Amino acid sequence: MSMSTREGRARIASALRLRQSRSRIPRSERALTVYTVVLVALIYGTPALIASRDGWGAGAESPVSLVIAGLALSAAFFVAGGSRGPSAFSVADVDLVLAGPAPRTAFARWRPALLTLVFASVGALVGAIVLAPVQPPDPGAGVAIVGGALGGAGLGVGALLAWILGEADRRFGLLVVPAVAIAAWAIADGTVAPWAMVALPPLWCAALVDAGLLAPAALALIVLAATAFAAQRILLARTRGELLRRRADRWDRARSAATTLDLRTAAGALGDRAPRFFRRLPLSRVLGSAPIARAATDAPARADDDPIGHRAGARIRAGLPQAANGGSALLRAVFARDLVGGIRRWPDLAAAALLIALGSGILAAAPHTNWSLAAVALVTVGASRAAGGLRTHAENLGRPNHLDPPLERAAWAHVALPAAVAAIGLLTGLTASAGMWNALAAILVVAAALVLLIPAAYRFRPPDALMGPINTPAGDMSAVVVVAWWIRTHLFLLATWWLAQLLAPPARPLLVLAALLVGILWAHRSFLHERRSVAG
Amino acid sequence: MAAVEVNTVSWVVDGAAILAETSFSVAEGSATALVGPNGSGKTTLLRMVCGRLSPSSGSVTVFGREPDDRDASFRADLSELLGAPGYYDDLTLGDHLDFLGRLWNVSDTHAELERLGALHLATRYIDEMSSGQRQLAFLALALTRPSRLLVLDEPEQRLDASYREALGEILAARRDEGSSILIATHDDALRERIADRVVTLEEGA
Repeated sequence: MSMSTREGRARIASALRLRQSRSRIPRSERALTVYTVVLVALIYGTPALIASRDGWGAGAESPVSLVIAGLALSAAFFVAGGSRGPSAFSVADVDLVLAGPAPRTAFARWRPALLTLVFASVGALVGAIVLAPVQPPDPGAGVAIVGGALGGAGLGVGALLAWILGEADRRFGLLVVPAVAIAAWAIADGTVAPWAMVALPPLWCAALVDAGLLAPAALALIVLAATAFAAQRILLARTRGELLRRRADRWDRARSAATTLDLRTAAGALGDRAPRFFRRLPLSRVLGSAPIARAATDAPARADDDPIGHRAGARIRAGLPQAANGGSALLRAVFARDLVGGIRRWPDLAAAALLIALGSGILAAAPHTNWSLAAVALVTVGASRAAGGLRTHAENLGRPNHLDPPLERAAWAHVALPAAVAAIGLLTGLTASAGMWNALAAILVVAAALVLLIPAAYRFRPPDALMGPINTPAGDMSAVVVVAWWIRTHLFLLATWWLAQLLAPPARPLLVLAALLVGILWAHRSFLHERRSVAG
Repeated sequence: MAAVEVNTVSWVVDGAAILAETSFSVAEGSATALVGPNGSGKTTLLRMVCGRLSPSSGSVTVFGREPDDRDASFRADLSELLGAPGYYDDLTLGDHLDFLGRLWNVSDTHAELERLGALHLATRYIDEMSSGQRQLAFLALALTRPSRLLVLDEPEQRLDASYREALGEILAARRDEGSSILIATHDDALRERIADRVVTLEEGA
């Protein structure tokens, strides 16, 4: 009963025409969405690009920074590919069309070409604007703009390929090592070896400084784009329906949550996959030999949204009645619970330590630069990566059969694992310290970030007062307020650090210390508020 | 050739047997019912037959080949209802059936809905239906597309007695027309009405 691709295309086209004609969503609504996206891109994107041109213009003369930017962009797309790759569809498309009798590629006929074109075009546009010479009278301006566009297109298609690889198999992440090694080799003496300009897409920007390389760079871009096009078709044809369905379902849930500005749930839905590592932990060694209920022992650890799973939970529940009465016993039990979850999600812990090491290193070594603001963000994001146990504790407070006692001590005990991870990160990061005061300030920033995990975890839904519309001449601004609320602890820490830089070095740690104390009070108040709302 | 051949298949997670070792076959043009308590692995087994899951041990074949939903000809042979499928929230149930009709080249797209006695649902949007009506809608979608093998997981759930009766008649007619049916069910009447053979699964763990 299988059919040819041509017949499949005809049937799918006919079905899609029917869907368009009968959809209750009017075309004008879709047109409005496109109009809004284009306008937002033009109004906010173009000024940002032009404003960044001065800073990035130097990149045209320094391809080294472009190599790093290219690798970072590709890494980000690779990670994103694990949650939502280029062959992501809606659940309905997967169950109704892709489960149909026509070859899948008949449904996604134009999509791979369109995606390749979009990535290359956006990259070329950004490259032409950002990498073009700042001074128009420059005689090489024409060549530079073409070189910039080519470099940008190369970056774009490279990012698309990374996105495809991220969706295909996470093990392709191992390619990072040779990629970094080749890049390091190519730029070993601070310039860029000519061969690398064609071999490594990000280095095409080097064509800015050598017009003779434009033609080979263009040829390489075409080959790379053709590879990206073919890879998308192969990936779609070779991915099992179950995987497509799971990804589609995850994305649908994330989109629904994001539409209501529930960014936390949206982010959780995108990352919500069962950990594959260490599923069979030697729990008796980790947690002692307290008895476990048989049912819980036999049940597989399937709780995707719980960092540890049922078996560890059952064992800790057995010990918690005693633990709730004693501070150290509670700390041990909660720490063990979080550790088991952390080991199963060890990439999160590794990322947390790495981000905190990087962030604290920058804070300690270069506290006066704009980079330090990004470093504060790295520290806060890093701390939150290790706080899965605290999140689970806060979200399940008040539910029957909850594994943790609803005690403030339990909340603080859940900070122990992130603190241990942060300590490892700090030990690495502070090797780059530029002085005692800076190191102390960096340590206090990390401590404050850990304390602020509690209010961020407890108050994970915006207050109702923020959810109402805020009418302004520019439209409804409520989304801005809600987003600011989501990142309120980050903003608090960023503002603290920014203010600290206005003070003399010995006074900086004092200001951060004050912020830490405010954070402790904030955490205490959040707990009381949450307990009242649960009781009410 | 058997429509479905299950040979010493099991499914084990972390040492716990979700599906104990099982063997059976479904002859072409016959109906087989899987019965057993909750947790005995009925749905797991159906997912394997549909190519959604690979067994820990043993093998499954559907019309002589390994289930693989990446293969268009495999998809063309099989229609399944394992839980709620995806649907477009901007189309009515009738629109969905017409949509499937164009994909599968079916002219009388509302016939199965009518046989179920639920033609009145054709103008309703699926996300505005009750859970029982949704089940009827999903059944209509699964039955409308032509197939050599029907795989249904507890299709009777949330249906009242009259709809269960109608479902039994439709499935029996399908079987008599030569379709093969593999169904997991807790409904004794439905099982007796359509099943040529009953396979009982014991609790996996």
